Amino acid sequence: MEEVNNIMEIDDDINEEDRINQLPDSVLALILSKLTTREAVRTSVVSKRWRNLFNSPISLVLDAPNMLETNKYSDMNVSQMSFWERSIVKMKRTVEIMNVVCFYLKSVKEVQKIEKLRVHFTFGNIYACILNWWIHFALERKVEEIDLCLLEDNYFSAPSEGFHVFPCDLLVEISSLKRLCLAYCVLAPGSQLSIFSGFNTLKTLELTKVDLVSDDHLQNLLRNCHDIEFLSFNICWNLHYLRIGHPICQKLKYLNVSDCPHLLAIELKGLNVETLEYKGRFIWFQFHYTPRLRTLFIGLNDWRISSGDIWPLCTLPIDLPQLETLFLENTCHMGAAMYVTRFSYLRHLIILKLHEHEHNISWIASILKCFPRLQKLELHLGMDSYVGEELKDRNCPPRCQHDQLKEVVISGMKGQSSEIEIATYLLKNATSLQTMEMDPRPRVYLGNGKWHQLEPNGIWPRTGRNKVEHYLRQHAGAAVQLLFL
Amino acid sequence: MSSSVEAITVLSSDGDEFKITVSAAKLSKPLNWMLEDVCFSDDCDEVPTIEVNSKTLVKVIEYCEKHAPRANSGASDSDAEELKKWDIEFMKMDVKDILFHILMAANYLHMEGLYDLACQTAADLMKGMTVSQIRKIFHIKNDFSSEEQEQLRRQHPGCSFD
Repeated sequence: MEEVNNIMEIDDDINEEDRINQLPDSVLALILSKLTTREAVRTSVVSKRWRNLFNSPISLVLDAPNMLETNKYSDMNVSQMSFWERSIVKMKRTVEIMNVVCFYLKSVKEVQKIEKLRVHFTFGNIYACILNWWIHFALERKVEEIDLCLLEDNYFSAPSEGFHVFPCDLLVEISSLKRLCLAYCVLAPGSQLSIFSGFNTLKTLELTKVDLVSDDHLQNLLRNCHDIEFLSFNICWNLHYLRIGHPICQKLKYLNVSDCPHLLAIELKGLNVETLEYKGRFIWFQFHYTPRLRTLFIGLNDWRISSGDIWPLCTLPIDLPQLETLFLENTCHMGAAMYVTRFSYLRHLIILKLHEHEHNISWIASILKCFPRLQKLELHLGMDSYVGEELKDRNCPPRCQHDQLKEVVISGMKGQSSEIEIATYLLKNATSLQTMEMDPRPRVYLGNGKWHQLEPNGIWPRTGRNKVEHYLRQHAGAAVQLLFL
Repeated sequence: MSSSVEAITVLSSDGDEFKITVSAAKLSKPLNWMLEDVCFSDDCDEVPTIEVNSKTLVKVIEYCEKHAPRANSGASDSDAEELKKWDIEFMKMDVKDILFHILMAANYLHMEGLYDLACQTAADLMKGMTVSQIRKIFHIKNDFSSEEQEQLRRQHPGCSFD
């Protein structure tokens, strides 16, 4: 604090010169960490004191915007080039970043601790040894988070050779890794026989477009994830049967499986998992003793399902009677499936991407009786630009008391009659209703409790809002608060 | 401290008195310790001194009062958005004059949010600037000999230093 006090006492007017140099190194290093690496390295020629300031990075962010000249490649009109020209430019760019990174890593080799390594660059398997050297460099410095995305979203993207195989062997001897995010890689530690111990400090594993090679490889990996809490598979290949059961992954709290093309079944047995989010085709689920699983997201897009199929909703109350929060996305013909089920403890129901197939949403009214303890209902209407005509001769859903329902949220409102109809139904039948919120902005669920809000649909400000408000005010009791956003 | 106290009085290094609400003062760890240790009831004579000049302290308190409700209760995403916009406006004011004092004060008062914000602002001033422009903005003297400068250029062949 001594240093700080002295600086504070310096008179403003006298010391205009060199003010930034009064700051301690730790402050300057943090300022530089907010620049791109290329910019931070450049500051080393500002003055002698600045020469080594950039040499203590907390994170290694190795991607094109951070390491290469901003405009050097983005200005090139790659789309006009022939295949060969494009390949040469691509190779030059890859060689350049490898050179720059190697120089950079040599200049920061004294650093003792790296918190994060991030590589977002198109790398195929032919440069494996270089990339593995970077990973080794970070692991030696006790890196806690590794984030690799080895395909960029630009003209340089298409990899001409196979995906990079993540070097699991490097983790066996030294690992303090807590979070691993991989995209466009192969992750397949060892064979079935050798026990892989590299991931036993890992808490978060997020895989996107990763080739898992075989179910056995994945089992081998999961068997030693003793500390894992967050596990996510998004479009992962060669995952057929996902079996997680006692005694492995006992700390797992969140599991996400989205759009894995080969997946046939998920089997969870003796786990403490609290949230499961599944998105994709029709698969089989088996739940054996998962008593803490209280939040479930089911997003089904499978046109093989006919209206007669009652999966997955029919068996859920039997398999997971403790369920408290249920997200249903795009689950076609849900109305028919729901009549036979009863969720005794469910308190929060979220229905997403409505309107996608049918403009009639009155079935929601008829399924509400399956949720006798429902306290909060959210309806998130789809983003399609359909503008419905006034639909007449609609059968009004029968009256049914929902005495626990206190809160209703409807997003993506456009002011259509079917929306008014369901809102009116709720106002009439939810006897304990306290608030009803109407939001014209569609919401998209990103997973793990996160949402993204879009711009409102066009007709709401002009006519939708007035129409809805006019109808709903007539039916709203004094105790209900109507919120128009 | 007695629970009835809602605001406390502190002295700046220039000797001026400032009022800060208890909830806002809690954003700073040292101030929070002071709240726990020292008696701040009305009949207490002692007014603690904060080693930050008046001009800077005004800004720091303004920041604390704005951020205190959110820090204490947690708020929705829309509030967070609004706060972000407020932060940007807040840092726009007479930055060059006061930024370094705010940096030091945030460091000294252990205020993570403000410290991070001030570092980001300083970094933004450097973005896209040439080395000589950076020297000019921050009044830094170039104390390298031309040979040393040439050597540095060779060490980082991928980067341009102009």
